[in-house]
Parts: sequence; C-alpha cells; structure tokens
Amino acid sequence: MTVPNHYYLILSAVLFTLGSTGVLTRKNPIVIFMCIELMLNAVNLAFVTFSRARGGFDGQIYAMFVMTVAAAEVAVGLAIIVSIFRERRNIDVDDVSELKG
Amino acid sequence: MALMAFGVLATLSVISALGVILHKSPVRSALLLVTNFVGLAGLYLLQNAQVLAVFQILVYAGAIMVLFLFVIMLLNLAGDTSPDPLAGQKWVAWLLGVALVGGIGWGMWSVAGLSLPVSPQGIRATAAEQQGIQQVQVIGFDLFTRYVYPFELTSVLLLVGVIGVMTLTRRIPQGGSANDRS
Repeated sequence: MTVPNHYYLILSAVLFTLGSTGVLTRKNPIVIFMCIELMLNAVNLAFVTFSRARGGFDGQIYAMFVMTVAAAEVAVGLAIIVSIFRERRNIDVDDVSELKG
Repeated sequence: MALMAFGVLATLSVISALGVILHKSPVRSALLLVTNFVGLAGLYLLQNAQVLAVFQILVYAGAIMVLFLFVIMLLNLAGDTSPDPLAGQKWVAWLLGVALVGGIGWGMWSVAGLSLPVSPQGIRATAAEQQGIQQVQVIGFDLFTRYVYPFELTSVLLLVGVIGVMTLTRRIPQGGSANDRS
C-alpha cells in the first residue's frame, strides 16, 4: 500500500512551520540558520512529492538546485557569523542592531 | 508496510525538528538536525527518489552539518542563557506558527486532491524506467540538456560563495590595507 501524496504534503507543511517558528523564537544565529535548513528541507520534500505525482524528475532536479543554494548560503552565513564574533565576542541577534536605523 | 515506514520516519523528523527549535544547547540542536536529515532521506527513499536520498546524506548530513559543528566548536558558544527581554513575543510566534501550518496545510490539502497533468517529460521518464534505464541516467541527461543553464549558474554561484567567504573571513593585518601583504 502506497502512502497518499497529501500525507507528505502535510508533513512538509508541519516541518516548514516548525522551521519558521524556530527562526522567530531563537536568539542564537547558528540555530536560526539550522531552522532555515529545516524550512529548505521541507520545501524539498514537497518538490519530491509533486515530482512523483506528476511523473518525471523535474521536481527532483529543482530539489538538487535548492541543496546547492543551501550549501552556498550556509557557507556565507557562517562566515558572516564568524566575522561578527571576531568583532564583538558576542553574537546574540538582539545585540547586533547597527543597521537598525 | 509503506504506511508504517512513513509513520515512523515522519514522527522521527517532526520530533527531531521540535528538538532543534527547543533545545538550549546549539550542539544538541545540530545533532537533532542530523536526525531530521536522515529521516527526510528515508522519506525520499520511500518516494523512489534514491539519487536525492544519497545527495541528502552526502551534502546535508555530511558537508553542511560538519560546517555547523565546526563553527560551533570554533566559537565555543554557550546556550541561550541571558534572559529574553521580549519573552512575550515567543507566544505570538507560536500562534503565528499554528496559523501558518493551518494555512499551508489547507492549501496543500486542496491541491493534493487535484489530478496533476502528467508532463511529456514524465511520460518519457516512465517509458525509460520501463525499458530498464536507470533513474540516475535520466536525471543526469535532463541536468545536462534541459537544465544546462541553471546547472552552469549554480557553479558560478558556488564560485562566488567561495570567494565571498574568503574575503569575509580574511584577517586584515594591522596598519596596512589587505592588498600590500607582500
């Protein structure tokens, strides 16, 4: 017995929401990055599900591109975190507010 | 059988995702995130996306998580110990989360009932599968024909990312600009 598609889609919605709630509630920027990864993975799951529903592999190829972009984004984001840490020895997101205006 | 495997993997990934956003220590969050990635790789396998499952383990659980753990080790971070000045916002965030899952879930539910049109590529891929041509062959062929420009663009993106990271983290020597380091 195969699993219906909407089970996967609901699971993807739940994981995406958990990621976005994590971005809103946490203060550590590294954990915020992890939550962004959670959201990207949830979207990948939806891509794979729709790809299977529609036939063909287009959704899987999109998911591969999402993975590549996620890798680049994590590298640049962690480099920014490291350079902020060098500057001020503290990376709490509430304290880094120079651009607030 | 497949339904049972889905139930186990879905529970695993939801519980580990909850752990990621609730644990105080970043290291534990990172390890729970690995669990979540492995659960999602299992879900990809369940959906017959073997290539993507392998990439998920290699790229996410391998490369990206090592990067995370390396930075946590480098910065020697403690958890969120300082009192939160805006503790009330957390409840608002959770409420918004419930609203979001309701909205996305409703949209997904209404779209999942529709019968999606099968693409011409889908028909070709199904035919290829019936002839015993491997999935990875079809994906590779698509990646280098129809998706060749996005594929090349991602290589440019990765190059820009590498250069950007090197520029960001380079130490500039005292009393001189970055260029005259001879």
